[in-house]
Amino acid sequence: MKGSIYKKIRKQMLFGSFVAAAVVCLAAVIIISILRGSIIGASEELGTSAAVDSKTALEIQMEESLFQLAGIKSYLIDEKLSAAANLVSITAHNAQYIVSEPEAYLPRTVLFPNAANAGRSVAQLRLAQNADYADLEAEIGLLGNMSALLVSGERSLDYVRSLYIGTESGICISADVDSDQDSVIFDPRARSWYIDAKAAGEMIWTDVFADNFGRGLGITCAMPFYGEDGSLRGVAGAGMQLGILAEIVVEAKLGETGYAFIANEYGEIIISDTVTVDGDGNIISQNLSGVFPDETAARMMNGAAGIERAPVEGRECFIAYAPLKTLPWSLVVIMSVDEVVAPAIESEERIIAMTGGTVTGIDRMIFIALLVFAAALILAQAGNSVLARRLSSGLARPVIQLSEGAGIIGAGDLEYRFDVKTGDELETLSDAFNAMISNIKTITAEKERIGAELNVATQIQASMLPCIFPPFPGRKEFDIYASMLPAKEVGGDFYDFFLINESKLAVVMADVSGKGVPAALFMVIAKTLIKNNAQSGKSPKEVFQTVNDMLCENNDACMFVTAFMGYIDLRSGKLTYVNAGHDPALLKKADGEFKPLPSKPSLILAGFENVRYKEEEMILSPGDTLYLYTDGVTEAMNNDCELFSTRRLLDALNRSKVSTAKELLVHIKNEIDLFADGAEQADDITMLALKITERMESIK
Amino acid sequence: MEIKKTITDYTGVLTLSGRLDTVTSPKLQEALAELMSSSDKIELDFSEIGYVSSAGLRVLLLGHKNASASGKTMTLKNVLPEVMEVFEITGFLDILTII
Repeated sequence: MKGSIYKKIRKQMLFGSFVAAAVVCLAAVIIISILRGSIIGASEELGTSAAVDSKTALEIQMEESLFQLAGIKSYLIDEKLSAAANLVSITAHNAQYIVSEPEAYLPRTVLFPNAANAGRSVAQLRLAQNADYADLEAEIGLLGNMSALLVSGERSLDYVRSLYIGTESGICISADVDSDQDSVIFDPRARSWYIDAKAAGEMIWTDVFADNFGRGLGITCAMPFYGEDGSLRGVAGAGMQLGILAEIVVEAKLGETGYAFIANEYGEIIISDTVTVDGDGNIISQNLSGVFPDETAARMMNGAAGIERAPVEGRECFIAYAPLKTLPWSLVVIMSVDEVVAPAIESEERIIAMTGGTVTGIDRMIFIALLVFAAALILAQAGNSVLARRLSSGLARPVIQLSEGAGIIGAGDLEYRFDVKTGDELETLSDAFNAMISNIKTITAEKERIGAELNVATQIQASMLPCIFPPFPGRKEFDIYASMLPAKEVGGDFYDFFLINESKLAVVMADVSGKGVPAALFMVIAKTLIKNNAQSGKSPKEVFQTVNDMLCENNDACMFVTAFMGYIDLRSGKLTYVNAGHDPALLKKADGEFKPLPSKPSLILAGFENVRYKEEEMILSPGDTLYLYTDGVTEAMNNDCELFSTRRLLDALNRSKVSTAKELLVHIKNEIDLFADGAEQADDITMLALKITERMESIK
Repeated sequence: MEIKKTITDYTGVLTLSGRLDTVTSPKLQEALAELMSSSDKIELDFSEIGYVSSAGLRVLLLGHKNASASGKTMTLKNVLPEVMEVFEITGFLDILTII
């Protein structure tokens, strides 16, 4: 039982705080989830858009770069080719000039190739098979003046492997470093460059071919020169090693997949690092059409510049192309889109990874936050528990104190005082308790005082009734006994008996209306008045009339007395009696049963003044028994609220086989107790028995 | 004891039931005093009163005296035989107006 308030408060507090914490937790989780969603969304969006942006930017930048690269490379090659073309042009013009002014020059010797000169650029003479040196000596000597130009020209451009002139007469003077390989017999007129230039009548470029000396692919630029008469005298030419040009094309390899090449006007790839030749020195050209989209190839062959995106060999590629000026060629740069955008993809992946990292980070943070939350929750619950315990024990303690105190007070300790100093309603309650106990103590003291006084009153009342038996030890004529058992406190019943004179005995049985102190006081007055008046020699009737009048004075409370009084002349046995509203006395003749003593009802005492009471008489014989009682006897109740009644009283009296007055009263009392069966006694039980034993002897 | 009060014109009727004894008689005394100030005629219906103790008699006597003093009337009706016996013994039969 104890501590239940404490437990209740604790339970409620814990439950309340738990619910609050759970709600907060739930809200936090929801908010965090929403935040997480939006952060992740934003992050992913940001990452994706950043990746796309950077990819797009990279692509645009790469397109520009590739386009520029193609332009630059084509320009560089153009430069070299046009430098070579200039060289050929100068050589042709110089030769034309010399052959036009033969007289201006002294003959100059040109030697046949000498292997000892190998590796050194020198002019060397070669002749056609059927040419006769002697016939051609003058012309050789004239053209020998070209030697310095040819050698210096050949040396000026590193990709020019040989600079030469060939004549209609079958002479060939060339400047090159291949003295050990050049054959003496050589007919320039049979060479394609010679034939083409002669046919064209202007500068031509040959197709790409394999170098005679295995130095890779070559190309020749050739230009005819004429005599004064306008007849063709020969062709000047420069042999170029394309490998060196190819270096320009392929130099600085473009990443992993990027490459460059030069395609000619026929859409053939003629310069690239992959071009090969067959046994005849023909290029195994790769045709663009198999590689490129046709439209792109067409645009290229038309000499356009551009940058496109198209699949090449199954891969999405950037194709940048720029035309050459000197030749109808195009420089092409190709690069895989994947590689171009690889950094973008890489950065996209990095961004996405970073975004993922962000998500992971957020998740981790959420997890940590939730952990912290859970820890905080547990701590808070623990704290709450302690708080709840303190609070509830703080609340419960004074309650328990009050409860225990109430128990102590209940046990009768009215000195106990509560000492609750909580400063709240409990202290007020405690103060109220203290005030109440104080009052109870005062009231109890008052009650105790009244009780004590009532006790005294009861004792006084009891002592006023004759209670020493036998009252008249010397008298043998009668046996008298009386008893009064008060219901509670002081009652209003009384009996009395006394000798008026030697031979006259008075018996009185009376009942004052009500109970308690007022009844007791009234009883004292009535008893005293009756006895005094009786002893003054008045007859019963006179006594009652006097007493009635006296009692009626100042009786505002309307108290009254029912009373029976009888005088017994012990000599004659005459009973003279008067009844003021009292239950009739019962008389048993010596040989009969108890019967009501006939009496005419008269009014109670103290009811109205000037009431006339009537006396009646009856002769008592030895052996007769007179029984007086109050309504406490006949109206004794059992637990079923039944009255003992006059009938039961008569039965009990008549069943009695006892002989003395005392025994008779004890017997009746037992019968009443038997009947009441433990029910509380409601009214005073007062009885008096008088047994006449013998007649008093007459005066001797 | 139960007391039921009904007032018609100048007559106040108290219908009693139960026991009229030390415990219950103060109630009747109070009811009578109250009725005495408003009604000229007071009727007590005793049809359900089975017991009247001396305390009850005292209240009846008081009521009777107060009524007489102020020129009013107090009447008892439907008195049961056992109660009538008490009134007879105590001489109240001569004082009270019983119909």
